[in-house]
Amino acid sequence: MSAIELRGVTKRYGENPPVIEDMDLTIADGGFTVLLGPSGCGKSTILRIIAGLEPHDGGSVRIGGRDMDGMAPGERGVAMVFQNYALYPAMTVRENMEFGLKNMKVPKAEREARIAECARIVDLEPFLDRKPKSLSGGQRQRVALARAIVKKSGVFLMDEPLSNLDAKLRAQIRADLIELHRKLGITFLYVTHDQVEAMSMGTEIVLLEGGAVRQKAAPTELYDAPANLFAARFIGSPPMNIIETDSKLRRDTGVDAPYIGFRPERAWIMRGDGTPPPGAVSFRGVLAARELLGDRTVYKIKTDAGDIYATESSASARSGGAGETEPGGAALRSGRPVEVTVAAGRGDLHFFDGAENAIPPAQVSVEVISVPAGICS
Amino acid sequence: MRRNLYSRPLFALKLAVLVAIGIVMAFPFVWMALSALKTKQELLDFSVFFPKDAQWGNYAEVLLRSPIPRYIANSVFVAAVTVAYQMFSGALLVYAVVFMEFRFRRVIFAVVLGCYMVPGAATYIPSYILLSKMGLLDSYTGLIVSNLVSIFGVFLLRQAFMQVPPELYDAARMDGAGHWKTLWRVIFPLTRPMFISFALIAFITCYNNYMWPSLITNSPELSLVSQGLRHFFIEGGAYGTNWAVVMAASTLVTAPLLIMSLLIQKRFIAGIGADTGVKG
Ligand SMILES: Nc1ncnc2c1ncn2[C@@H]1O[C@H](COP(=O)(O)OP(=O)(O)OP(=O)(O)O)[C@@H](O)[C@H]1O
Ligand SMILES: [Mg+2]
Repeated sequence: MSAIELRGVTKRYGENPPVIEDMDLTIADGGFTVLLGPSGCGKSTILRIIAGLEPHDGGSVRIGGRDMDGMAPGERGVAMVFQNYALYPAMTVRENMEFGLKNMKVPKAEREARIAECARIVDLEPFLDRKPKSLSGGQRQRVALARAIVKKSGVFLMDEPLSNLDAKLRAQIRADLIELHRKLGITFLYVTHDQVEAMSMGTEIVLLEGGAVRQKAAPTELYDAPANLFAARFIGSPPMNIIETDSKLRRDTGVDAPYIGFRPERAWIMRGDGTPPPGAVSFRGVLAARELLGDRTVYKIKTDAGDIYATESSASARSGGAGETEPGGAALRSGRPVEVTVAAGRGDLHFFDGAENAIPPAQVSVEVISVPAGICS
Repeated sequence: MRRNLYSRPLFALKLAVLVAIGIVMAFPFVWMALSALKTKQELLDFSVFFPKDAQWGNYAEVLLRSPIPRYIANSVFVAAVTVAYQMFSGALLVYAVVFMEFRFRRVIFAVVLGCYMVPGAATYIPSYILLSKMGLLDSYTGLIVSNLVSIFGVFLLRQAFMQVPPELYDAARMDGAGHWKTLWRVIFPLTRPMFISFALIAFITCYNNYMWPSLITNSPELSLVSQGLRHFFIEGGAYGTNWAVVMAASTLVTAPLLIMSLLIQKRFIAGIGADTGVKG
């Protein structure tokens, strides 16, 4: 019942050029939608416009089909968790949760029932009579969640709610949020600049750049089929290898697209000029760095086409799975250049046109596929 | 080692300076309170510091047979009402200027602060004419009305309000709280130390005020302490003044301020605590 629709929303601060211009965006009812994008792209601004905290200069915002024009934040049926929690310091945890309910004129008996229930959901029962100041960061975080849940609104807005927590707690609360979303079944709109948070929690990701939507898709689709170079470069760690094809490269590889890309985790890496698997595009180069991450190893390879990253999972490295592996721990340390070949299979390639938009792979002609020679010095 | 070597003499020096300043500050008051217990002769004899035989009757005379207690009550009343309203009006103005978005808010605030630069004396005549046209001369209403807003207070409170994270204001709005509730339930508890500091300063200023009250009030029974003390002073003529009783009166007049300071000294200038409820 609480889909969010933005139609032609424009926002400018003062006389500056608009931060958001003519944005159309629909947030699915009951979904866990993540607004993802680099710092300053307007994520918080969009959230605040939806919440009614920030007036917008044009267009309309509808929540659950109702036009929000002129509606105060408290009347919109929206709850929000702030990045710095913004708990009321002078009130106890209980009072923090109760404040909004009192303003909504919820009767006392129901207030107490709801507070008890929410305190149980987020494990805050022992802390109800404490002041925020005497709680840990993670506990404050949960109070902020509880204060929002207790209102039982149809929409739950979160602006980077995990950024003040350490990595371990973040991972834990990520899992808690997914569970909470399933339990409550309401519309979650979550702002982050962290792709791991977005990929792991979202049912849908809205990728933003400079106040515009670059791609709106499910996490897997965003990963498997980035709609443009920005999406390709933003998602993935390390990001997708993007190679701008010059005429020589086009001739050598036979690829007829301005940009080709492939994910490091889909790349093959072979010692010397080993033969790439049939149907692959390959580049020869020199190993420049190796990063051990435990579950996987990231290699950086210098080629004529630029730096290329390739990732190998530790499992396959140990078993010697994907091609010839572990090319060069010792050699790299010894300082001798290690020659390698990186390759990507036809099915793993992404293509982009001059306007940086993706071209469906079927529309790209790739004539000569395996050209190991002459690309690299 | 080095720390100890250098910091101990430094600490002693600091202490000595502070004690010296303390003595200089306190001496007139101690002398005043003691003089109130002396006889006329002792008081004029500089070689006597402590009275031989404490003359408690001087205090009794002021308390029981002079209008001083009445003046004190007048002043406490006027100061309390004025300060209460100054805090209230200051809070409303500053809340709007700091948290709400509206056109010209900067201009409005600049105008308000600009008034601070107008010397008080320059406003006496226009204010006097205004009050007289409103028929409020020689009344507490006039006195209080002419001091409903303290620009100094606005300035102080603004400093405190600006320390409050704006997210708290946003959170209150999300929680459906109106401005009134947001101000008193969310912002005020955080800025209370500054309200207390302001109250103390404003109360003392108001209590000590002499010029303006003496311009607009005439009736002796409406006199505030500083006027009252002056009446009392000149009552006996240049030679008849009983200085010991005057000292007793002066000492008693400072009592309300002393009591108030003692009561709230712990909270005075505590500023906003480290905890503002948000992280980062
Ligand atoms: N109150 C303001 N006045 C002027 N400009 C603003 C204001 N708030 C935001 N902006 C500008 O709007 C743009 C978007 O800001 P916003 O806070 O929405 O970014 P964001 O995507 O949330 O970034 P971050 O990840 O750093 O929080 C930025 O360029 C910022 O400078
Ligand atoms: Mg932000």
